[in-house]
Amino acid sequence: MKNILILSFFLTLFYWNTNAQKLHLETHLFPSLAYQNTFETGYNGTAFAIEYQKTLTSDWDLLTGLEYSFVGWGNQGLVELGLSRNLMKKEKLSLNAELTLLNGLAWFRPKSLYVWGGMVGVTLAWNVRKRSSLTLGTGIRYTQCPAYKDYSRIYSYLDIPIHIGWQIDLEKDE
Amino acid sequence: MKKTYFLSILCYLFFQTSCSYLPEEIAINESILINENRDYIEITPEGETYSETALLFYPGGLVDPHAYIEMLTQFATNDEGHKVIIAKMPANLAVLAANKGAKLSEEFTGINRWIVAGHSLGGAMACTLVENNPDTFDGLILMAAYPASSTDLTDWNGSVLSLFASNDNFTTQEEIDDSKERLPSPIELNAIEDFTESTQGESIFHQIEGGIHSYFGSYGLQKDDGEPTISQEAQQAETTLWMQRFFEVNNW
Repeated sequence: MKNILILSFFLTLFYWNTNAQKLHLETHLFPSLAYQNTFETGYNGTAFAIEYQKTLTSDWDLLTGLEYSFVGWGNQGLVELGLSRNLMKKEKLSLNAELTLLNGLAWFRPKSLYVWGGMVGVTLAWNVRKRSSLTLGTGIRYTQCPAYKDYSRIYSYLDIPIHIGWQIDLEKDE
Repeated sequence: MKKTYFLSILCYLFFQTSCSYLPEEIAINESILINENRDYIEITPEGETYSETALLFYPGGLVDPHAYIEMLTQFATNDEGHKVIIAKMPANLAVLAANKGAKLSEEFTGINRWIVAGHSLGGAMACTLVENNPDTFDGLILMAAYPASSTDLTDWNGSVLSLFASNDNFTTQEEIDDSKERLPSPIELNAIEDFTESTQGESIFHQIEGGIHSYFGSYGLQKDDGEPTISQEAQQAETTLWMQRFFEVNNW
């Protein structure tokens, strides 16, 4: 699992050093559906994320990012790695479907604990200026901190994330 | 380059100040009812009956709430038996949800009296909770904690027990002494044998000799804390003994 984390980290660094196309600054809210095997709605936490999106083909983008969040087990830092597919594009609006893998650490002393997860969702971008857009997204997100089961009966959450953010187009004008 | 260094240092400091202390690994005793959901950990004493007075606990800042299960299980399973609710806080910081206890106290049937307790930052926020909801709580237990300078409980008619440790480097004797002017009538007690009467409208102060800040929970030693001269078990045993007496003398 640690290898996946390291690989994700270096992939993120790699794409930060290439010609990234879009930069997202986002706040994620985590209304929650369930924890472990218990379906009980509630609120799981909040995240702040910075993401880069790079075009792969006309419809597909690669998505990488870093997220700080506080959730049920405390504070954590996650690396995001995913794909985004354009579903619709109109004059000022665009809609994308996203699939993201999450790897990182829940920040504890004396040792941090590995966290993994995944998220699928859609993001609507509304172009408000020449190169920047407001974004709003939702989806479904699962996260698990396997080693936290030594301390707690709750070590996984199923959330309905709501993303609100700002997207900046970094692509040069042609 | 300067920006990179600055950002790296900033990230490192942020990481360092956001790490929570993990509890020492505990084997959860299945014979004790410990329920847990996203908002709290509930410790219910064995047996069909237990007191109608329950304890609500606020954990210390950046300390995992499970680090208090061991000590509070000792308290919950005393003679009469008391339900204990350990509140889970966002980012493990009670300052982000100081009034959470008011909502939690409404969730349980069969409980007609609530005592709130807290360790360190959790204790300071328990004082804020009581200040904002003076009629909801009858008692307040502080462990290495004191009310913030903006919190004044001098006119509160509840009972206060303040336990602090002699070798604590985070909550000092001087800070505890300063806090006395913000709590109901202060009384210092050294021996538990002197703790015999109801404490309504009073604050009982007791110093645990040789104790330290982190031994109020079970999360090992805290960086920059003092040197303990008693064991964690001894400090927690003394803490629960005084808590139990606090409940007994007030007929809770």
